[in-house]
Amino acid sequence: MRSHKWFTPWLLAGPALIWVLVFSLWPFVNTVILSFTDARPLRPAQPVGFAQYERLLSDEQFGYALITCLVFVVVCVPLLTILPLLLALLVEKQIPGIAIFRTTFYFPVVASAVVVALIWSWIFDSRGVLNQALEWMGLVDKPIAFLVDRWWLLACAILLTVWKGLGYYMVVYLAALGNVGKELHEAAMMDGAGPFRRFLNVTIPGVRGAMMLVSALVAVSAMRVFTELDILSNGTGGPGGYDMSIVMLIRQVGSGLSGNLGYAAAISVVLFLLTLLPLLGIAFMNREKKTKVPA
Amino acid sequence: MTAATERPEARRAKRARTTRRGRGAGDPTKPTMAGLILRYALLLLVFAIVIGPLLWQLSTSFKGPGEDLYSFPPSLIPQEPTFQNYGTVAEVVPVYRYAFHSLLVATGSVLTNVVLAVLGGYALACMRFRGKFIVLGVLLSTMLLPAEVTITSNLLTVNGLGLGNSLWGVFLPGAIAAMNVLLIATACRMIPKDVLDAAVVDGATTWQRIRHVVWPNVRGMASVVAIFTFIGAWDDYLWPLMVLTEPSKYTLTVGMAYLNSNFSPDPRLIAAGTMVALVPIIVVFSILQRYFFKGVQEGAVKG
Amino acid sequence: MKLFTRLGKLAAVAAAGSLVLSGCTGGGADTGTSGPIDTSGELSGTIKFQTWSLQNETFTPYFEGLIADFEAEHPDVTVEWIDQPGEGYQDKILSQASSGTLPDVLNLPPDIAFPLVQAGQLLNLAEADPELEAKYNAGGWQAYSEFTGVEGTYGLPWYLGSDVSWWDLAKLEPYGVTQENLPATVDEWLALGERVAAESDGDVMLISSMPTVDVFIANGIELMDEDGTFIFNTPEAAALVQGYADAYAAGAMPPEALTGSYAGNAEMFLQGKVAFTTGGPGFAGDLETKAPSLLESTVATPRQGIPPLYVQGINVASTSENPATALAFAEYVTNQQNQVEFTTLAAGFAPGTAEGAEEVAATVTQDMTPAQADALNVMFTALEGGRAMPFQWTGSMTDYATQQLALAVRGDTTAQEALDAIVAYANENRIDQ
Repeated sequence: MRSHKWFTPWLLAGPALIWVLVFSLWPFVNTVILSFTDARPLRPAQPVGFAQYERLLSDEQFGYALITCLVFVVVCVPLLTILPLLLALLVEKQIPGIAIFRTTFYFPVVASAVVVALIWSWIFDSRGVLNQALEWMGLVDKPIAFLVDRWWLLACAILLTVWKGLGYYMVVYLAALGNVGKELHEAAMMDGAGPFRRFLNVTIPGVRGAMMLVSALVAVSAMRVFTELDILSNGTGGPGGYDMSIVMLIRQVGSGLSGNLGYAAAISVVLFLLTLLPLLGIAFMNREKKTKVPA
Repeated sequence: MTAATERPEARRAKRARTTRRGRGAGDPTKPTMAGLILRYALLLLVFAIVIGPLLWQLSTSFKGPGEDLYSFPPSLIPQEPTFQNYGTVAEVVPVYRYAFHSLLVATGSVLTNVVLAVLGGYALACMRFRGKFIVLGVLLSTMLLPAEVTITSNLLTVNGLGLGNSLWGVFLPGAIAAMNVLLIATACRMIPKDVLDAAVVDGATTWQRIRHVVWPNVRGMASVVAIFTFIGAWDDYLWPLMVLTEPSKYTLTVGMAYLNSNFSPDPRLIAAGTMVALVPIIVVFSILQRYFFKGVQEGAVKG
Repeated sequence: MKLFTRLGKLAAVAAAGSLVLSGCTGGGADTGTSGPIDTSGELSGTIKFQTWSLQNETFTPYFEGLIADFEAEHPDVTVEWIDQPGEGYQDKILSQASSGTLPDVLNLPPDIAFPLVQAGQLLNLAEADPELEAKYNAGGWQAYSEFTGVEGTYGLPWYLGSDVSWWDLAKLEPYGVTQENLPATVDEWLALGERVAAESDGDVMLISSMPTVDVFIANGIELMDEDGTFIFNTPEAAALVQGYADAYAAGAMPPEALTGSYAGNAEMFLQGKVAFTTGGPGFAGDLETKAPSLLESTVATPRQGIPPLYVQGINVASTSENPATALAFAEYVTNQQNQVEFTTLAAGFAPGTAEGAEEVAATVTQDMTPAQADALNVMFTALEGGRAMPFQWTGSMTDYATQQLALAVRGDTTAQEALDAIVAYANENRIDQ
């Protein structure tokens, strides 16, 4: 039913569209242009064609950064899609004191990166709490150098990401769980379904849309991981720079008064294309599922 | 999402609304005692993981100058408890004025984001018009752009508008985020189509429909948008750092960086400063959490 | 907190980008004023004066007084003072340079000044007033005079600093180390580190930082040849790096040192994790507030090898509308009397003038703790033979070097391989060509 003048939707969505065009799309177009030049600060830029992109192909550092980001995506997506859902189920029910728990679980989201940075470096330190605890339990006899080992560092950064992200995605799920009809649970109970079966057969289908949304958000932000790895590796990206993420590489290449802006721009463009991949994948899965699930 | 999934979800939502009214009367999913204990045990575990690190920082902010901060095991109870660090930090930089600046920017962002996201979200979810999918595509794709790419020319735009070194400049690019429009649009899709159609039949104008039908239905999602926006604006560091050039105009995060870099970086002072940044937002959130979680849980089905 | 530095760097990328987008407003088009500038006439106009991270309870009164005096002397002049936060300064400078709003008089270390010099944004001070050179510290003056491809001097030395070595004797005493027999060379220090680590079963660590280019400079290894090509992948440098790797393998170096941040070793010293660090004389103050229990047993000695030299200077923008006033103010800020007064407040730094350092040292040490006074005297002595980092060594080269050297120290690659990679990277990314 058409109930509005042709321009009404444009008026309503206009401000958002204009903002996005001016403050997101236009800068992006600029970056694309920049990536075809040899731009450096305070110097005139010359067009260089695809030279910056060709350089990318043989850049070892970019290879490492790509692997880091892919590992991040592959590990974070399942963790941050499922754990927050379980957490949301845990706090969904109105039991005494639940408000305190819910609120507290959201604190890490609220905390600024500085606080988080300080605290977690202290925890993972070679003489930090985690190592002390492991030694006390007799699991190790020499402290593990968590922050200067390629894979440990990655694991720590993932842990930190999960810690900071749990509350955020928990809330997204809480919103979705509000839409899962209680009578569906009741019906399932009548059929003799236990909690686990109900989780699989009622809850999961009910929040499938939210799960897709969450996994897309996690994938995109994992592809663009910066702060966590940067803080824990003290800005170095670990020994050999093996733990640099793509955004960290952009920073290293393009920062300062002598930065190679053209190359940094080229990496940014490639990063953008890479973030499209998980989204396309999820959109595709979404489509597959949709055709199979009867309405 | 396509129309195929919207309908069943909307139907389910309506059913949920009807059952919710009868809450409390013989709830069959009521947990057993053992289940309850397990639930609390799990809650406490997560609680400890989440709060422990933050408590440590809090205790550091109360530690006296004579206390070694790096002893192990870390002591959570200060041996020489003092409020001195909070006084000193306010003397050194005007933290409370900075907090006010952050509050202004965050509140402004919340208002514009909620209003514009509801308008835009409604148009995208419930109206049919040519070019809709292009608009959706644009919004979606810009969510993927790394921040450092967009900040690049935003500074130029803001300076070009004459808003450099002002709180307006800090506020402007974040006035509406694509993500929020999409979130509200998702909530709008949950509104039963017949409810909206009925409003049209009743002769309601677009504005009236938004005010009386859409808004009550998306209030839950709007509160989520509001909280997300507030936190994002409050914690943002990079952008205000770029825009503001005079220390007198700083927001809290930039002010903290300034505190840290300019004045002897005593971890106790930094801890006190971070607590000044952290505690208000935690308090605000704790006060509003009831509405927030209520809004979140009831989501689109609040009638 | 390093975080802010890094975020600042990110901001710098952004600012740099916006600069190119704006069509390079500052890009060499305007070389500004050239030739001598006469500052003896009647001065007038409003100028902006920008300092870096100096607005606080100690320095604010100093600058306010300084400006008031200048304005009293020249009634038609107004000086607006802006102070920038410590972090993200490069990016600030970059956005100012790109938008044509560089302050008239500002504080830039040589490495940040270089790109501005290349872009013609800074005034050649040697040309503006040929008599200036004699008034300033030779090393400091040189740091602003040897930019590749440009003639002239682009900054007036303002304040100079260096590092000293700090030792925690309480931790070292059980292993026969006293103030008298502390190692004086890097090799001795590495050997002692290995011995102490072995005897203490890894409890006492002495090697608190990675090998960096500073260490190569300190050991007299030339970084570059005359053309500016990096050449430090020599066997001597490799042997040095290998020494660190051996020390690491022996447990003389905490793993965190591999992240190689400049402030990191001082932080670990404060935590009691290592028994050695480098740091400015101001580190004594940190000890007092952060780890008072260490203060008693800590002593300062000169750095092993050639000490580093940190140079800060006052520069004048070539785009200034009041070049005479700006130059006069820059000279005024950096004259001997004002510098002596300034560095007396800035405990731990020396004036950038030809004379006056002794005066400062004498005054400053009077009300210092013995530890601080010792450290200060050690540093003032070091300044004479100090060597500054070449401005051609950029932040991204440091990042890359840290990553590769960490691999070598861990034993994942050989020292020579790491050095070869770094030199190749540095030569590929030279900024002076």
